[in-house]
Amino acid sequence: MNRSVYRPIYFIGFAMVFCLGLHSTSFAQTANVFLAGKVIDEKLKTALEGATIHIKGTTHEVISDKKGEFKFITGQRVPVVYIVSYVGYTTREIPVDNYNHVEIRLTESDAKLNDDVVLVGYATQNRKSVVGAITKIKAQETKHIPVASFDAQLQGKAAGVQINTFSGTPGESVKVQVRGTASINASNDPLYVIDGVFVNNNSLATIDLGSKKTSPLADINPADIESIEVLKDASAIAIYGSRGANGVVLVTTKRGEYNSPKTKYTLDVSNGWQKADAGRLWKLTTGPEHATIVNEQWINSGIDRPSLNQTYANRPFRPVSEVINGVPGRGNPEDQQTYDRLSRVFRTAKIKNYDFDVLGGSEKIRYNVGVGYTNQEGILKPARFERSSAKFNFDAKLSRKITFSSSNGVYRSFRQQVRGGAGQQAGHLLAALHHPTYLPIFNADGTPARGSIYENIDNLTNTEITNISTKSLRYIGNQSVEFDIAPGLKFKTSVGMDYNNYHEREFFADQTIIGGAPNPPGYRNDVLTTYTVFQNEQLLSFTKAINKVHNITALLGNSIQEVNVNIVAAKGQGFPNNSFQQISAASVRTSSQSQSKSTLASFFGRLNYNYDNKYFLEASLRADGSSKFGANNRWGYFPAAGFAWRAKQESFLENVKQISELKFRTSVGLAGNQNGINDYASRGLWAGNGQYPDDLVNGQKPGIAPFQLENPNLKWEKTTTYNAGLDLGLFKNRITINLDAYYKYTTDALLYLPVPGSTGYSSSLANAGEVSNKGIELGINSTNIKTSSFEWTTSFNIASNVNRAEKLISPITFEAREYRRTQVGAPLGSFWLYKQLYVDPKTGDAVFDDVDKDGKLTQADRQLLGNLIPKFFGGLTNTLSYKGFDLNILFTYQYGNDVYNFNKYILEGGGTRDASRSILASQLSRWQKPGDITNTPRVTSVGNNYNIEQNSRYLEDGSFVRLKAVTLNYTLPAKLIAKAGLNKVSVYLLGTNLWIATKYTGADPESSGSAGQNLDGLDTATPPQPIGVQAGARISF
Amino acid sequence: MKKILITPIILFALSLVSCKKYLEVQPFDSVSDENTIFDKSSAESAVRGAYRSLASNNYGSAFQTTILLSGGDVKSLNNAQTDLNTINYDLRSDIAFLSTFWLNGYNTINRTNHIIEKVPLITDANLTAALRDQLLGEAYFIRALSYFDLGRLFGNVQIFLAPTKQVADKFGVKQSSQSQVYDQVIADLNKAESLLPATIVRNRARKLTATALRARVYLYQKKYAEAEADANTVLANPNYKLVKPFALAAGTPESVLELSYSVDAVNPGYALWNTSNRALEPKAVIHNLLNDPTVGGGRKILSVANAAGQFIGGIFPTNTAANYVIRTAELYLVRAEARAQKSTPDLTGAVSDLNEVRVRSGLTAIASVSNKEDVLLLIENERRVEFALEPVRWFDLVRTGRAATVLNATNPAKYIFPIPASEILADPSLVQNPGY
Repeated sequence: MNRSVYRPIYFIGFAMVFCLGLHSTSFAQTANVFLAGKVIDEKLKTALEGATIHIKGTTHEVISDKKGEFKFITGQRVPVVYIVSYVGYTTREIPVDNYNHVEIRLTESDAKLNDDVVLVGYATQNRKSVVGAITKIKAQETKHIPVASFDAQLQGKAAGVQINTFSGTPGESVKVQVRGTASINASNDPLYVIDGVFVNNNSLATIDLGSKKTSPLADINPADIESIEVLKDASAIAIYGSRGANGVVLVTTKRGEYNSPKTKYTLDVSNGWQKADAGRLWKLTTGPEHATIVNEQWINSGIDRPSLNQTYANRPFRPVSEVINGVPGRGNPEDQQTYDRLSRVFRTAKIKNYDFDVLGGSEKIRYNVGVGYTNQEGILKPARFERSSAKFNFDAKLSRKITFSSSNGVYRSFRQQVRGGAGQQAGHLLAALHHPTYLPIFNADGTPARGSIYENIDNLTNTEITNISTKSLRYIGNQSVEFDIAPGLKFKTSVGMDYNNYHEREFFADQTIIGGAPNPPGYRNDVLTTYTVFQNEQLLSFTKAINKVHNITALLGNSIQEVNVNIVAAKGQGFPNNSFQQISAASVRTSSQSQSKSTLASFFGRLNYNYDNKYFLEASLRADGSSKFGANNRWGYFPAAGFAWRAKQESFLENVKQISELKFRTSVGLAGNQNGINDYASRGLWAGNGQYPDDLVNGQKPGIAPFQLENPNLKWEKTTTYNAGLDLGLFKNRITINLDAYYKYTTDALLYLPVPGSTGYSSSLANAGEVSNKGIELGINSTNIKTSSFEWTTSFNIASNVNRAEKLISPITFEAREYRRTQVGAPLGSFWLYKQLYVDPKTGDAVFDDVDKDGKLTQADRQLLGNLIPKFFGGLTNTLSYKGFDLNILFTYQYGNDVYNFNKYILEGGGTRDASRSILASQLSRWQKPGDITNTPRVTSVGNNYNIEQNSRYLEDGSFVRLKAVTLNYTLPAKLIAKAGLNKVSVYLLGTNLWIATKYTGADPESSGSAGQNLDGLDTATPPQPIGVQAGARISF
Repeated sequence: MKKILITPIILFALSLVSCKKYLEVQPFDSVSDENTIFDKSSAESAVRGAYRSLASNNYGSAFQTTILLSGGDVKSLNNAQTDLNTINYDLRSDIAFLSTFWLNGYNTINRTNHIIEKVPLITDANLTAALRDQLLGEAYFIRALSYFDLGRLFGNVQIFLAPTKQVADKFGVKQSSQSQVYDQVIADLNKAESLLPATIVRNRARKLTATALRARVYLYQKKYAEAEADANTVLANPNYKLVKPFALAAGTPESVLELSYSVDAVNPGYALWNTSNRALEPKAVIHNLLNDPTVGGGRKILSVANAAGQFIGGIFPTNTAANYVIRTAELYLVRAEARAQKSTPDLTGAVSDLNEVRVRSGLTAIASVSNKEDVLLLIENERRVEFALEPVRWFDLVRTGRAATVLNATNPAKYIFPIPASEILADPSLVQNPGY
């Protein structure tokens, strides 16, 4: 017996005998009969050739012909059940109880929102039996939205997932938060798992991008993705242990189909254009207006503080002939010219996109090959994102018991980059927007002119002169072998890898500020970062049904993971001329290298039990050991339990026809977070970067200095999540409602405690805070109208999250200017500002809220006056289908969040910034004479009118409703294309960001100058998300 | 069946066994706290690390900008809001550069405290007694200089003489007054002077470097006889003399202490004056003084008008140019002031020192002056042009009580900066300076 079992062939033989035996008892074998029918597309009513029709419980299957017709000659007798499958369509089971010709309608699987199978951690489950809060998104719905990375495309599609695009430059990072902000200093990004590989989603950018970051997820071609699952509650995330607390995003790429009757080729081509919404771009003062305000400020300041010696006579904009102290005047205000730089840096950007996909399979193998190419220009010159990708997924049944699966994606991304955001010397938008309008773009001799701190705009947009670019090569792959050990018992082992080769390059020619005199001529910087994730995983799963009512599924696994980062940088200055750009040609060369590594070892298990598909119990546990943590706390344990009740299965609801589904879910559990902290965060460290010479003769010698305090007790951040949910289906699921309420409490929050500077350190990483998040998520899907030719569906989601810092040793502020602060009782990172109450109509002075009533404006008067967290947010999708036409309209919205309009703070400075910054047109509404009612105070450099950096006047409401995407798709009639030998042809038009309603006065309420954690929410010189139009065609054959 | 099951069992077992080792990952580019200063080479490296902090942190661009703007002769081209606070002598405790000064100062001090605690314990035979003394002396000197700057910036600061091992070490320590801080500085300098060798190394502290700094500190303490004596000691050494014509090049006999930079640790002051992207500009008033042949003389190189009529500050010609901390000229002017101020003023000696500095820049010598106040004013004005682009004048005018008259900074409470708000937040036992 032993011998026969581990020899597969015997085992299969045994199974077959067993099966046949079973059948022979069920059906008496008699004379053959005919069973016939036709398979058509549900919507287009066109015949589907090549569909597989299988009679359930037998090995008998046939394939439909050109007209969609099929016929069985069989010994079976009705009733039988057909299993009908077709590539790209949802497989259906059709009971047949007579011998009539049947018409079987299949719907395209990508047109359906709630698929029946849901990916949970390390396994799939039927949606009916899911206990956790999981949102599934079909990538087909969003993949054409031109934002490069798939995460950005999901805005408004998943309840409780807040997604904000920080800038209009393609390929830059996106903020994604699942159920609020749990962490103060460790990352709040969810965990991304692509085909089982834990992929890197931290930007590898090291060069100055004006505080922006690149998105590593933009490497992945959205067209390769089949579906995306967002795991939100404890029961779903705890299996991911120390990395699950911020939610988990599972990405599944397309795979082939076994027994595919014919290979399916799909070509998708689109072209489009994008441009900034001109009506929303910043309006600047003209040259004469700028000069008037500066003069006015000059004279007012002189009145306020006579020792400044600023009078009308020595005002800066006076006739050129008036030379004072050897300095001629700049000319009267009315003599100033106005120069427009914004039109030189913005452009109509082109987008091209090509995807080709091959999908097929035989009895033993299935495969999917996808190649894609995207070339997307940014509206801010010279930004461009280009991606070439190749995807190869392959599965092979090596035997009845062994299946080999391989997923491979190779990506090459090229980014022509801009410094959008901060960064004075080479800030692409700063140099255009913040450059005073009265200063000419060219010198009298025709050479490019610079401002006092900005590069000439034409020097920045010309890649011959300023060239910042990155090439990223990436491979994400997973190879696995699955063994069917015994019925219901499976073992799977896999090896996964995410290899990033990220090559950055900066070049500044000798006429630029950075590369020009008095620096040595030319500047070149080259950084190569390799980031490698290697993982190995073993899974043992077991499924058994006892007496048909006790269903048990168990999972046991372990994994090890290693992350290696190596950064090599070389820099050269002093080139013979601009033609030489190799660092080896430079006269001054410097280089650096750094390396780090972290490891993670894990064991995990999950047990699911359900009684009669009515009561569901789920319990899981994960143990994680991480090298990042202190020797005293290396291992963490993360348990979770969940329960669900499908009330619809109960007898008392059986006859309530209106209710087609009713399920209650609840769960509790613990998950951790260790993302975004240094690999050696727990150690006391000295760094070797303190070189200094021993004398004047012998140059630098190595030096060392302490840089990190030890914390051997450092451990995971832990989040306990409680979730209660409800799934309701009404009127045969015409309306489905998913409602979830949750409470998340984070303890041991990893945070950089502000330590006294007298320690010699500015901060020390510790587990020292507690944070809570509670919220509600509601998703409603409704089929409003459904006739044979017309269908209107609506999908709506809304979520609200309340965030609160519960416990801290002391308040924590971020960034040197401390715009944002986290303190107990308030949402994390609230804006901490001086509150400007009004402008005194008599004096024109700004009056601030003197909280402590001491008559002075001191730090004690700063207040928490708003935050980035919306009161609610979500999306609304309407889909209208009529015959071959589909119209899809997506709105996204956010309400109740604030944005600090940093551009306004800088550019509404009352003329105090003189020639160093431009002035917004809104400054013209300044107070000028007693009785003026305005919010913009009298212009002066003395007093508090323009000397308060953290002024509430610049904090604005960032709520918005955005028409994110409108897609009109037309599928050509099948008759028409069949002649051309094509399977399906559709053409589409896509409009993006066509309309926005917001009170925000900046260009885009989602813009953020910095992509850094706790530094976002300040809008600085960032290109807005553009309006776009794309036209495309999708051809299958 | 057994065979198939065996694979996962082995893998499970293997991973369990190797886990402990697998999770023990050593850093590649830094070392743990325990094995830092333990032999000759590590001790030398740690001392270099302290100099680097002095050169790149303490005297960073924010320090230079703030003190130069406060001194009234230099203007900011960035026109940042905080620049307005600075020039109006209206600082608030939450202005970012204040915590930068604080942090940088204590960062350097912590580096020196590690050296002072650990170097005496080293048992390495290669570390000679002379070298051990020198390294310790340099640490004492750097600590003295850091405390001196913290004292003159913030007045009332905490004194720590031991390295930080845990954060709790530093909580709740009372602030010392400015005069107590200066006393500590003198104590460290005395120690440094006794430990340091009498060699001449201009970019590191040596015996006479400590003496020279002490002369300056005595002047701040108004201990004029002591200041004169120390200045005498240094100026008596032929290795320190004024270089004619006026120039601020590295390694000249003018240099008593200069800080060195390199391409990968650039002089932070360079970016402030760099002609293509300046942040600072000499005001017309100082430009005109420097370019007046009877006032500035050879010092006119410090401010040059370009074709566009802009004034270009000429202190750091390249981004690796040395940054002077103590110059021979300062010692002459320290002695001049000490001689004029001491209990029995030596006005002739004072004027003679003043003339050394004047003549070096190609000016005519001043004839004898009989009035002490006039001599002091002459010294003040000489210092103004001599150190036009060095962060000196603000401290001078505060020290001599002339800030109100000269700068119209009428509120004496503002002569020291506010304790950074973030520091009070981190250690609530800190007391804010009065008036903030």
